[in-house]
Amino acid sequence: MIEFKNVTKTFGKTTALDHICLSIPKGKIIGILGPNGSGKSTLLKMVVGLNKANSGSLSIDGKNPSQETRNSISYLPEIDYLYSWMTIQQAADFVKSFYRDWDEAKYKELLSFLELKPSMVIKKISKGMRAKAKLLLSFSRNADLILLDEPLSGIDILTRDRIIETIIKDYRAGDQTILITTHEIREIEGILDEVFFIRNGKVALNGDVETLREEHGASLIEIMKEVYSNENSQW
Amino acid sequence: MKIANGSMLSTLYKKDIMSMKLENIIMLVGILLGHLYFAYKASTGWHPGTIPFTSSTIFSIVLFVILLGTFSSIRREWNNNTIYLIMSLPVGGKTIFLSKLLTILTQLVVFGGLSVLLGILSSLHFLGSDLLVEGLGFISKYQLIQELLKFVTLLFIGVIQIIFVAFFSSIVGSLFKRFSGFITFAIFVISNVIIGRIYTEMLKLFMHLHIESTRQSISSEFFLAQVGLMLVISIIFFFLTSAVYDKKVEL
Repeated sequence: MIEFKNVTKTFGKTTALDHICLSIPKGKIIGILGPNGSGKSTLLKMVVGLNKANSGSLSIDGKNPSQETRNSISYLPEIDYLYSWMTIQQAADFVKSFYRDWDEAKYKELLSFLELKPSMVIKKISKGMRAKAKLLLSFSRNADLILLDEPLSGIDILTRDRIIETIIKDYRAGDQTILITTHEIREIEGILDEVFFIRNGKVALNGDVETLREEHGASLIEIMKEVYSNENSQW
Repeated sequence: MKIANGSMLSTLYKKDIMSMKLENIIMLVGILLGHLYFAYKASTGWHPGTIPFTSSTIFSIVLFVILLGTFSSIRREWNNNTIYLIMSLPVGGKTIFLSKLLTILTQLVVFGGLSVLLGILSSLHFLGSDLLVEGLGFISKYQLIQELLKFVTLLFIGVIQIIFVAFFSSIVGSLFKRFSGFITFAIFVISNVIIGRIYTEMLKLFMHLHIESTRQSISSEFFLAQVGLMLVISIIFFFLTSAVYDKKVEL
């Protein structure tokens, strides 16, 4: 379980997370939803340890984010973070040298599923292919916690479908936790178990997706529109 | 169970070496062409006595390029966003900077060594060993080799120290979004000024060991004091850099 207790994170005068309190349960696919600049990416970065809290505390299964917790985290940032001169095979060899949970059979299967070739040089492939390559490296591991920061951003509709299929393909419900940040809910809505709507660094609304849909009698997109329709409204 | 640190270090080292492939090829070609050019000049009109100077110039350029590469090996991770990958790996600052140090030392040994070797061979070829010994004011070839070894050792450890100061400056510079380059440069200069002062004070204590030595020779005690001091300063900067990376660097 990931627990944020009264966590505040500022960048200069900008407050990214504002005394945020949330508990992310284990073994579910969780959506961290919200518009650009709401603090979603900062939240993920803090789980990996790329950002540190100004105040409050964050724990992953009772431990502070550290070198040790990173062993069981597979993080996919929004930006292109792979070495562009590497081939997909070289990038896979690089990543697998750091994790015991690398699954070679899964890697080979995903390689074919995502229509990628080991000899492809990362800098020479399209943005969609690079997104798939990032996904390949994240999902070739049997990591307990998978963090996906805007995995669909700037990706065409066909590739989006393939990305979503990859996310749920070998998902181990109850055992593996997937956190997905996105502001593009339509494609992702069907796979989410729980959601946290983040607004101005705070949780505006959260809960089980089915329950929220029933309570509001609306889809997640409509609920999101309601949440963000009035920036000053309180939920 | 966790992957062994040595294995992760080896992967990072291989990656760092591969990422400098192009620079390494250019440097290798540059050294070979430079020495060939000056050897050709010395055999077709230039005074053979210029060879030790041209070789020293090539060696200085190689050292300068390697030092610049030290800064860029850190900056490149930020500029290419690969720092996101590095920082999300289950490795700490010590392993990361040790891998970068090994990469730069490999360059130093291969390219610095090649450039010194070609310089010595050219000097021996054009000047002869006796003239070289006499010209530099040594009593024998043995003394020349002995002093050369001390000089190379001091230079090698000195470069390690400069590399760590460069790493430290780059990491401190990376903490700032604005004027990062300027801050890196300022920290590098200030650190070296402080180190210079420490050396001046510490070496004064050992100066009496040096007075007994001849004009060209470094006494063994004085040499060991210098080596020890440089190693201690290098280790301090290594731990400082790793600590800043682990505790302070954010993306």
